[in-house]
Amino acid sequence: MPLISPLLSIRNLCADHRGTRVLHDINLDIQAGQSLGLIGESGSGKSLTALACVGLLPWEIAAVGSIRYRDIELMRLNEPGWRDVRGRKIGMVFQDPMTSLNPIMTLGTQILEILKPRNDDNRKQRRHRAALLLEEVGLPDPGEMLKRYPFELSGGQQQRAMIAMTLAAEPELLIADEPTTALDVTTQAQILRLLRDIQQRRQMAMLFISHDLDAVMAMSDRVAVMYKGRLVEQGLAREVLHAPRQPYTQALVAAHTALALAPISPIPGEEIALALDGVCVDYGRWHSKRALHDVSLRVRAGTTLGIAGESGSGKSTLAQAVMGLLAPSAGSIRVLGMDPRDKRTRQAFTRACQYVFQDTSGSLNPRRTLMQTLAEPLLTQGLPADPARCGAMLEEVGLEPALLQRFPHQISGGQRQRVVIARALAMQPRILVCDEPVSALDATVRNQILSLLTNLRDRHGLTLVFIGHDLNVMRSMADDILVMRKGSVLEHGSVKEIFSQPRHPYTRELLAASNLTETPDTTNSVAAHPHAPRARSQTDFSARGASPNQTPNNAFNPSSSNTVTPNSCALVSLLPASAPATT
Amino acid sequence: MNAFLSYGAQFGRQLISVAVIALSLFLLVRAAPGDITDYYAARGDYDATALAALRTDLGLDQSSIIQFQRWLTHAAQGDFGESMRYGSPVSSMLAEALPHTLRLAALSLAFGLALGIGLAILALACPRLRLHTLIEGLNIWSIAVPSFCLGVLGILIFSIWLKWLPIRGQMLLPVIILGLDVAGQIGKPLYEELKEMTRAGFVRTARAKGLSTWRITWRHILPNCLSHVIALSGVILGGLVGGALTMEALFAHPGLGGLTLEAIRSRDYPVIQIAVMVLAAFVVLVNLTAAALQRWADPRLTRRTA
Repeated sequence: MPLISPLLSIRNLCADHRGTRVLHDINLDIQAGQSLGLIGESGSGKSLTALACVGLLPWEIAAVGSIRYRDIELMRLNEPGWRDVRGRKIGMVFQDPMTSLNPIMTLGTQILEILKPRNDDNRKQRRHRAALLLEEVGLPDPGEMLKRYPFELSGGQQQRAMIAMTLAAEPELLIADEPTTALDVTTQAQILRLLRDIQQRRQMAMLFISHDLDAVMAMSDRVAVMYKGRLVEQGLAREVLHAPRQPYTQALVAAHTALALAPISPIPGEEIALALDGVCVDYGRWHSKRALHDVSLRVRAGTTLGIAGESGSGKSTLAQAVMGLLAPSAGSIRVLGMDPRDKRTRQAFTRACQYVFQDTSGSLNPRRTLMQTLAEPLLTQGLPADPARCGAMLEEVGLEPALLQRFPHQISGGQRQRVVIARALAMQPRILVCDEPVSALDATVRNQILSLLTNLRDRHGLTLVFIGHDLNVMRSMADDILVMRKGSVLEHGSVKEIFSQPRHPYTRELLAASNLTETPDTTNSVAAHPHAPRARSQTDFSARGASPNQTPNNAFNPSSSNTVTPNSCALVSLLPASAPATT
Repeated sequence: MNAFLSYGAQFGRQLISVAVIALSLFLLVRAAPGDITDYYAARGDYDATALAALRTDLGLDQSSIIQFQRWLTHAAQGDFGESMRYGSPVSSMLAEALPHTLRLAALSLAFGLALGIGLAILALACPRLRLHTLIEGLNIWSIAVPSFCLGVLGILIFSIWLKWLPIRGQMLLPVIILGLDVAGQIGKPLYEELKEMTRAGFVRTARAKGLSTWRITWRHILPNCLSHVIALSGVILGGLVGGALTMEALFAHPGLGGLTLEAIRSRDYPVIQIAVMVLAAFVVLVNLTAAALQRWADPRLTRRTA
């Protein structure tokens, strides 16, 4: 193993936030051309580590230690010094492309302002180079695309543009902080593949941050695991994730490979909790667009309905119609016999039916403490809202009562979602509509939340309407599943039916997308068809790495191929039995 | 095509609102008892028969509706009538008064915008200067201190004691006084907006791109606050044109405000009618311009496709 001095080397990095230590003694090396995956649940300090590398830590967090980039000591840089490093040497791709791009600036302007200057290039050449970058990240019609604004692009396209912008300065190290978490499940795989391709083609170093084990496996040569501000384990990706040595990593891998929840089949009552008949929802007054086509269904009290589909499939619209937040343009909705839009029964309805929103930061009032937030539903019911009661509500969802005085921005995303659930439960509802409640959470936290929801359901006879795109989650929770696409119901049946005999091709596609770990035969089947349709997103993606005729650039540079094993087919290899021989 | 139609529809709506203002104004000023003949009677120049003759001569003995009809037919030909008091054409009186008012309003707005925007940016760029207290102060100042008090004080200090400035016809003091008002109204919300914007994701991206603070402020943060400033300026400018009355009176600028006030006092119907209609039309114009500028500043308002 030749000893090359690392591109980026973090030594004894510690950080404090108002007296509490949030990073403990981080030591991390990134070699040139190598991809390092940083994994951990939210609040584990992985984003902080990344932000420290570009000097963008929030001001209230004080960091000490050493971060060296080649021979520059980053921790001692002043603001002008940082400017030479940011973008030009270390580029960063953030989680949410919608908010990370300037909304009123064209993509062209945003790329050109960071484009690395070359000798004797004029305006036209620079625009041409910007267009080439957009082409490299796979955006259609790059010349036209330069004049577009971010809001005219889909989420996946925005993230591609963001990547192109970061590449414009030709950094040697790319930090990707959960680059696909905010994206649709079907576009996630495409973006990941793009990032990995670019990283290998350009021989860039990459720090890839994620809570998603699959993604980290596919993206990294080495892996570092963080837990509560500490680096618990690091090593070659395959070694760490196949034979984890530390208990936390073992738990993480275990939580990932199989959801710990046993399917529960409660005895459903006869009462119909939810009855929809031919419900249609239109948006827009004049040129109305139908968002929901003729949906009819019955949910018995005490059972769980899972609604699956990609974004834009109308599942949130359906949920909002059930909650009475949208008026159906045709059909009828009855929730426990009540019309959600009826003003006379509105109060009784809100007690019976509560909603858990997808966007955790948007559904909590930023100017109210958790105490104030949780007191509200209690006061509406005429109950005293004392700290003890609110604290107990927090404990019920696995949070410490000490958090009561915090504001929403002072807790992590996972904690916020718990607060949202606690608030919904405070009304003691009979029906809980959860709109993608766990899609932003880590595997371990997700399981806790899911088991919490299941427990509550069984204890109180709750009826759950559970919206998500992860069919694995559905399988462990739901009794019935509704598969939606483009506003219509494609398939509706019991979990057993859907999983054993999916009738619709789209259902099979969704199943394939979420069953990354359960496709041991992909190496054989897809390697034989390297140009298999991309629709089977992630499975396809993993197999592509293994396919023999990939780009020749993928052969690593010789100097680093000794130290790192290219394990681009790692996705498939989570199950030891299915691990293909790559070396 | 669609955008053009919506512009047209908007313009049409605004025209209708001007017309409605014209009609209700016409009826309202005549609903109050007394007309210009009472003004002459009070001065003792006319006896009862002469007053009646005058009233017939001016057409004031007809019903309001017929008067309106008559006024409308003339107005349609571009003839807005003559002042009942001075006998000179209303349009020429207006042409004389309007430039004064517009100049005062435009200069005050420009000064106020420059001061307010400058202060807000400076306060954000150099937090150590603690300029935000100045912004807060200016905001409270603009709400609490009536501009005519300042005007009187200014005249006392600069014109009477120090003898630096003339009282009549000077622009400096009124522009500064009105400008401070504008700056107070613009600076505070802009500062808050800017502060909010610095926490936005794209600003973090811009910093991660290694851009200079200067460029981040001017190209990323400020343009995103611009539509806010434009909307606010529109409202303020509308208010300035009608509301600079006290300044006009104090510093002897024969502007629109003075003209309207004088006309109301002497029940000079044609002048009231046109002066108020010009004010209304001006507010409408400012609103349309502000809306167009907002579309320019924020492409999200027009290009809602894909």
